[in-house]
Amino acid sequence: MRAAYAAAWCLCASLCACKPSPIAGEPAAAYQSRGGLFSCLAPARWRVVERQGGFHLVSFFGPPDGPAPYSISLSLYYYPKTPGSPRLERYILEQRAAARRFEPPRRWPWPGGCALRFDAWAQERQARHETTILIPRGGGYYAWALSAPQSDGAAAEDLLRQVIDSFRPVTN
Amino acid sequence: MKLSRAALAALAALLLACPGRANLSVVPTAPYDFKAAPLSAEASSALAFLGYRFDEASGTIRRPDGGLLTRRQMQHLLSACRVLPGSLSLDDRWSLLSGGYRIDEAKDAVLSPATHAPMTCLELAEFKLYSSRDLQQLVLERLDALLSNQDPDRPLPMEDFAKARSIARQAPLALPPSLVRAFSGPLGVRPPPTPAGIWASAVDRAYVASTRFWDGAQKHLQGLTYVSPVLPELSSAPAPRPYFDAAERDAGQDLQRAAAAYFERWPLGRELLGHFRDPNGSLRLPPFTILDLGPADLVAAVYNAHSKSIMINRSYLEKASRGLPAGSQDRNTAILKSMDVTLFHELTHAWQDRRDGLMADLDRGSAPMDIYLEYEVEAKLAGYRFLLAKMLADPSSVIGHPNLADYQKMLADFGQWRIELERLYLQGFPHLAADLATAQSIQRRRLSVIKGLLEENPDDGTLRRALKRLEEGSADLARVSDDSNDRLGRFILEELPRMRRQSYPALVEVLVREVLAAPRAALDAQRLKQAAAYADLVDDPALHRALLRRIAQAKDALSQARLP
Repeated sequence: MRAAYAAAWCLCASLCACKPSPIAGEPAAAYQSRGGLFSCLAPARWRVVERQGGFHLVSFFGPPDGPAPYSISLSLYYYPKTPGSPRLERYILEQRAAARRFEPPRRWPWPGGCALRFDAWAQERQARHETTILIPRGGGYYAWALSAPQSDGAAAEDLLRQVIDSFRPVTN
Repeated sequence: MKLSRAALAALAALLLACPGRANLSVVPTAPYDFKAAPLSAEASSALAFLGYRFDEASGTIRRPDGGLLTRRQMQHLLSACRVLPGSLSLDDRWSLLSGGYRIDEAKDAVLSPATHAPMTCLELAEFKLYSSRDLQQLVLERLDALLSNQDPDRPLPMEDFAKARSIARQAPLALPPSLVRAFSGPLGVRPPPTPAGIWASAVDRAYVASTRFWDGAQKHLQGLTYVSPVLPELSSAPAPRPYFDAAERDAGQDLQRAAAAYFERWPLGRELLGHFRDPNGSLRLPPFTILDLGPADLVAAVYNAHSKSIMINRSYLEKASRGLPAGSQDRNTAILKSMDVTLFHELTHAWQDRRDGLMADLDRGSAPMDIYLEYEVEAKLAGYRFLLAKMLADPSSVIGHPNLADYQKMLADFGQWRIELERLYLQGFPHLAADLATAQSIQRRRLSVIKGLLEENPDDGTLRRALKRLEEGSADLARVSDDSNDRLGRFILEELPRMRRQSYPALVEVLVREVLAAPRAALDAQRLKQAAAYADLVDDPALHRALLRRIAQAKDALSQARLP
């Protein structure tokens, strides 16, 4: 299994050596976290904020132009297995409770291993849609949270797929 | 600061398009002669500010575009300016209202706070230019801070180019023409290969010139510096009056009294009101003014740190009061039930202003930006404490409350809620809003600019005073930043877990009552599932069982009600 995983990484590394496709209509840029804990591709011109406290690692805000500037955020959190950090099941339950509409977790294909996805809408007629991808790692889990206008459905889905497919956490 | 030709041409066009009302009794196309018909000191000063040039030899005045100002044009400038409904931008409308001006829709006029007379075209143009310079200063400051951190020998990275472009587009007139061209190309293009140092130097020059303007200005700063203790020569101007006239005062005071009585009934409300009591125990709340701030769904209320008043949107009041008669107790109750959390939020801003003094720094120009995210988080959390108190006292009172969904989001994922708040402010006010860390970084840049200017002009007293003012602003920023970090840390560690424990059972009851009060077949199952999820978050087994029984009873009651 470990060999297969290593092979998958090698394949992925060779794919990533090619010029990446644009993301959200923008050239893709490689993002390396502070401390080198993870890397991913992200739309090059989007605004980046890092480590805003708590479990937050990074957020990308965009698009910088167009009819709805900065209407989308894509954020990454890491919840370690420590007191004060919600366990995976509780995290999902809290998100489920806050949502008026909720699509329960299901498997999400991710090149680096197993991931879960769920979708939530804070209000019945909410114009925003929130998607969360959970990736267990190192006893805790990463949570990618995408918040986008409902009308951006296909483009937001594309953004999510490209960024998370390129996500490479260093810790196992 | 010297304005670009494009800015002057645009202003001239604005002025010339402004229709006057006075009848002409003179040859309209003849040049205006200021020796034959002397102007008031205010009008001369305003014309000079707008870029008009006086020729002492001939007695004529040259417009910013170079042509001679005619008598007709002067008459237009000095006549009441006709402002058609919808012709003012939202920025201009808010600037005018914040400055004490009022917009008379019936007469298509803007009324001056001092004289209650309509503003002339000249006064309005001067006001707009003054407001836009304020914006230009902010834009230059953000750009200067961004570009000064770049490697001067390399082109701007794509991401920083995008940031610079997004900031610059807020006020293109602030920028040197070369930068306007660079930032106005098609979207998504790569940054030009120009080394970042070239751009940084162009922005730096514009910023320094703009800083000189702000620190050297006398007349136009007066209204803003009434609070400044370090510039006594500028401190004589009175504070802006919050009320335009007696009718505005009576309506505002009526709502203010009702709000004080409403909050007095709650322990948290009494704690908030306590911040506004003088040593004798008298309540000194900020004045409330009811103004046309835009559509009801745009804004309900806003704290105006300049006039130290809470501005309330008339159209929101009309929507919330549901046609109840003005001045009636029922009307005030309906309004306060709808906007109590918002008023708690805005009163918290007023308290921050009195507590920290940082908003006075913003008004004086001693600290950068306009909206600090930490203040917004604190005010939102204060409002949400009140929402929780209401919910615990009577779960039915928060059914359909406009802030409930956001409160639930905050409970579920505080980090993501905070990030979304930041995104919202970035979306709405990219040049005005920032966190305190960003403001401190801009402030450091400001200080280095002023110190550089002082090295060139060591005897310049205005610059020395400006430096002292900025140093005071820096100290305030550092203190508020530390306090804010402490407050937020305590909230996350101590208060948020308690709020969650108290909220989850209460939210079960809110959802159950919502379903029972207004059953809607399509949504009831979803709401009861949501209630069950909240019940599952309750750790106490006995309470958990009781909540599940409550949900089951609600399901039974709904089934009974639906039986034919």
